[in-house]
Amino acid sequence: MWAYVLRRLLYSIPIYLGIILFVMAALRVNDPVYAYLGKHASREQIDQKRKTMGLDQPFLVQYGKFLGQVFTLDFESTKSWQYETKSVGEILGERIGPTAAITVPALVVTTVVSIGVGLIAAFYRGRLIDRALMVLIVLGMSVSVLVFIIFGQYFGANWLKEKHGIEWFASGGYEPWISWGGTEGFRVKPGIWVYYCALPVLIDVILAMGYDTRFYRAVMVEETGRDYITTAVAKGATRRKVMFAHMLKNAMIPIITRVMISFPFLIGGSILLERYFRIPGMGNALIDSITNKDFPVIQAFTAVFAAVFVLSVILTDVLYALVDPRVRLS
Amino acid sequence: MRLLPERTTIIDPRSQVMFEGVNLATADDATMRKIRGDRIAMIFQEPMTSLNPVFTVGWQIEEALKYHKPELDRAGRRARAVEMLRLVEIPEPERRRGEYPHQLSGGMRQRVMIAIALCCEPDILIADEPTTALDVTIQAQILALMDGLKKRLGTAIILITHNLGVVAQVCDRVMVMYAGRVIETGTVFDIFHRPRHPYTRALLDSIPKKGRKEHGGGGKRLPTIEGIVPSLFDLPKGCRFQDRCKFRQDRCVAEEPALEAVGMSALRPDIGGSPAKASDSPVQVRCHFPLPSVPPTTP
Repeated sequence: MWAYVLRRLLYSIPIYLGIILFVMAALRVNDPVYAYLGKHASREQIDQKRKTMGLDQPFLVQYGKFLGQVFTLDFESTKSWQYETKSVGEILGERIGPTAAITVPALVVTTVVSIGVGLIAAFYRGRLIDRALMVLIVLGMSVSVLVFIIFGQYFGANWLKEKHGIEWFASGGYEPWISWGGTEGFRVKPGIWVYYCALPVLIDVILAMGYDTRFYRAVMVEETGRDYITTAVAKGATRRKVMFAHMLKNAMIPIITRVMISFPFLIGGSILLERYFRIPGMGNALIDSITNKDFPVIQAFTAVFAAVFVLSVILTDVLYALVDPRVRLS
Repeated sequence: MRLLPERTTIIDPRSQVMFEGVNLATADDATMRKIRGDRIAMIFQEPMTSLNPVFTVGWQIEEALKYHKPELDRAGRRARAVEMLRLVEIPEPERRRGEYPHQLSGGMRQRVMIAIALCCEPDILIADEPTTALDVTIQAQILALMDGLKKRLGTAIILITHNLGVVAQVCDRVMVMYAGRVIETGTVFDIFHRPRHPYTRALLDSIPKKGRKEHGGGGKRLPTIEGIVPSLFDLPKGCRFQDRCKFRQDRCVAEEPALEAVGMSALRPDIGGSPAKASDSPVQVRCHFPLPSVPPTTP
């Protein structure tokens, strides 16, 4: 299997090189330096900026240099344009934590709950439970994310605080909730996480549930009609055993596909949620860099996101082989 | 077995399926689970899809043991699974135990299905067209295997099939069904040599036979039963076979006949079979005007 993983990694390299080539070319169609400095910049200023970024060199040289940085994971040597004291690596590093604090719990909760609800709905399909669940789910996904954000901030934060004096959730902002080093050593503060992250996670889950649950329900309904399910019942298996052993393992392929699609966004984050809850994560950083024409950050961000995407595709294939004996990695 | 989804299955509240004093038509889930796989086991038509593709065949045999033989530990179940694979004549059972269904051929898979069904030594094995999806040589092997196991383990087999050749070869008693009703029952000998119901007769006539050319008008075409089976949503009021019956009379349209005994088995001991069983099995026919009990005119 490791040989397979290695070979897939090697095969992915040309794809990745292509992505980087495209991204770098696209970012240079309009002169990034001119865009950043504006029309009142002097000739000298522009030349100076261009020189420090290496944009005056031939494209192939730039391409080679950037690839070198990416493959050695060296994002420290390039400085951001808008925060001149910070390197690109520092920005990425400090933004990944807040993003993951939202996206990882959201993905885990969404997946577990959707599979559970999907199983229940498929098992009772056509009955009241199934219909009630589906109506709720479709309602949840039909309402705009903005409505959830505004209602969440108003009721979850302001209303609770002012009418009931309960300060469980913040309407925005972020503080680190894991600390290490210093005088305290390694500490996890769940209270702080709940205060800042619970609301956005909840909203993310409600939104994603709609699509996921209906998808998992369809997968499970298909599974209940299989001949081997009848065989399992004829063997005397209990309903629970049929659902969780026979159906779930067979349904893992579509489930993995679905989950892995969301995988790159664990790093990318949700732009809207981060924006409205003022969470200093990757999505926010990206919007920030684009509006301020922070060329080095945009370029590095895209490269990282593309890498995660390519890796997640390989991981998906490996996971397939783990759950389905018919898939052979060779 | 009550395997069909309950929402879409209608069981007439008056009907009974009796098994050792328990009415399976109304038994609760826990009772059914204890009977399924342990006392009554089942094998299906499609060996290609009846096994779960993501578990090893050993796991799937051991699963049934886990439910019904709690006294066996892991090693005991494992040993039993290998023993069952050997019993259904799968070569290298120790190795095959760890293989997945997709690594086995159709015949092998049906053998595994039989191993699963028989691992708890059930009283009854229901075989729903077990050989339909297999080619003829494998069919013969599977039938011979089932016949041998029936004798060795003392399991009664209910064979559901539309293959009359298979019936003649392996069965003792036959129930002929048409549009959801039993229309004739008797021993194999009765059914094949003295069919009393027009449908049974017509069915037997439509089997191609060596040297029977003159039977079906013109000497070339195989006789068939005219028309099609009535839709189960729109059944006629009287006899369900009325539209296609050559001998139809007014009474056939007016009322549905009951399944009635029309005499005792005419089993001839010199042809084979067990006379003891045959003597207490009356021939029953669901027809107002059963055909006379004479052998069909053999060419």
